[in-house]
Amino acid sequence: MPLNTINQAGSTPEAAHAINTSSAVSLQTHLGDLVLDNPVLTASGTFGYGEELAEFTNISQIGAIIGKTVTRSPRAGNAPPRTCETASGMLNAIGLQNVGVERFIREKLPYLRALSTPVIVNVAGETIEDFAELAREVGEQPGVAAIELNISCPNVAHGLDFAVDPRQAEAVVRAARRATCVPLLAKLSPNVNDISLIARAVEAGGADAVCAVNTFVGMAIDIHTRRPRLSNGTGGLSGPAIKPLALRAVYRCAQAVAIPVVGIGGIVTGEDAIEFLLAGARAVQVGTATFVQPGAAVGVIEGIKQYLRAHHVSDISEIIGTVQM
Amino acid sequence: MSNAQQVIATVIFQQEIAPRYYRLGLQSQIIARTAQAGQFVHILPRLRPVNDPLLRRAFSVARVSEEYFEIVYRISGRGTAAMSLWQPGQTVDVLGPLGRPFAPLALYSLLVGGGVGVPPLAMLAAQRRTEQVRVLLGARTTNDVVCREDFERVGVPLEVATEDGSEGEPGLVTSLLQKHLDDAARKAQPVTIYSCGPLPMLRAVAAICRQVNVPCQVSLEENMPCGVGICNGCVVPVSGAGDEYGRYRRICVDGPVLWAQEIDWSHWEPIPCP
Repeated sequence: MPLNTINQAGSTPEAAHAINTSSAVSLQTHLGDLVLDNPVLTASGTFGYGEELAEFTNISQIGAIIGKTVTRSPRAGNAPPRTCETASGMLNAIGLQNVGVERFIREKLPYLRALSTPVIVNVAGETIEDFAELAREVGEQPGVAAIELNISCPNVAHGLDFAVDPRQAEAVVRAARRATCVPLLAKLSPNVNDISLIARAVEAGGADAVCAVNTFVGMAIDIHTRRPRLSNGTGGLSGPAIKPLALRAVYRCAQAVAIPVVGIGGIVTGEDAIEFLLAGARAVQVGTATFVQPGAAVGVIEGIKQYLRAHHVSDISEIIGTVQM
Repeated sequence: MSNAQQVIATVIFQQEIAPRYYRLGLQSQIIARTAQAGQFVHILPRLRPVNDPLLRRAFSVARVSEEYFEIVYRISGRGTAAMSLWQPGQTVDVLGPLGRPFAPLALYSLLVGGGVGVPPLAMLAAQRRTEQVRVLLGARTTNDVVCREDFERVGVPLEVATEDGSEGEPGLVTSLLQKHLDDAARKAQPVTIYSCGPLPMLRAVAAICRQVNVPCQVSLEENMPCGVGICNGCVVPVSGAGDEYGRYRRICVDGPVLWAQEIDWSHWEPIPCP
């Protein structure tokens, strides 16, 4: 496969494996029963369903792909403008545009399944029943390594309710847990007072891992038209600007629960990822950075390896949660 | 599978060609040799490797040669302001060429443009072989008319309308368009319109073409976080058969060039972010 990016190393699954294990550094990590060759996943909504980026980056080197959120019915998404750049970040109000679970299973999953990279399907429901039904349907499909429950999208009515109330959060996860045996990751919203309460709630509901965090609700106003820059009014803030906030949330979650934590928020380089691992994350997701650099996730993996080698660490598990407060 | 590549291109030249308008030449054989009129490049607008401005900016390709490609842009915000400081030798991170190009020129083609919508039309004009092509440009003043030399080079006649009357026809380019369409109708001559420019101009052009049932291609602009079809940020509402969801198309991969009649103009009101 021809590679069109400038920062590639290794163009085959064999070479990818070599990257993960060369120089006697092990990047292997696990989220419950889900074992990953390396701790870098692509964040939902930032990698499509994999096809568009295949020509720019070697997907087989990535720890796992989390696809764009799937809902029960197709969603057209919000009216444009849907995005706006901010200082070292961006706001988005895409509105969970997706083809719906039926077409996803029929049209998108086959491509994802054919990748050598584990596939995690992100799902979002409007009700607890929706989540359970999605978990059941998707969990039955071959080639699904895990399901990420998107209880935290700020751009959809109801989306936030589950993520701000511990009882609702626990109930959603419990319902999904009853519906499927595949590993369940619960993606939390940072737009709460105390994220550790929600983390404990999803743990109690049976989640195999906590993913922290989704985007922060924000807004931007056009001072010439005197209207919000986003048609939706508000949007979710992501990118380097949120890293300090996300990192603190990850630390709180890691202190609160025994299940693995996956860190998300403004990760651009391997060094950013190391901060999250030190804070207690067992894995990380790379999102907005992929818009800037299609090869960002692979770059983060390389950066993690460089750090481990430079610090004579042979296994990534040695540094997880070792920040000295 | 597209031709798109990620490359580090080098600035060969940069000139201010009109107040706040810059012409930038970037060396990249691979982009220069594969880009087609209507396609764009997605450029990281930074002076140094930092995280701000965060996102790439999209620019239509204006001209290509064997070794390099050119864009013409206007300073409209932080990203373009940073770019205007680039000197020859500066290395630039570029993704491209991206997007759907203009359809091939029709036997009789009218290119209607304004502002930074003109450069992609210049590239389209350069693809002319035997087709009859005229260019109609609208601008606020004569100083805002760019790419004249590109049209001259390929022998394509240019007519200008300026709002302040400083050059050509006083008023809007749509009156020039109307005149030529009336002419074509009288002669029963089929014509196709290719248009790029400020949204109010595109709306008006699309409306005129719809009225007389003349095919019209428009090149659209919207904030593009990714530029490659993943984020669904840059969508335009469409009428009739849209993308898989029936309501929107992505300007970066389904466009930037679309047929005007596909677009739901009544729901299209983007506010470009600087």
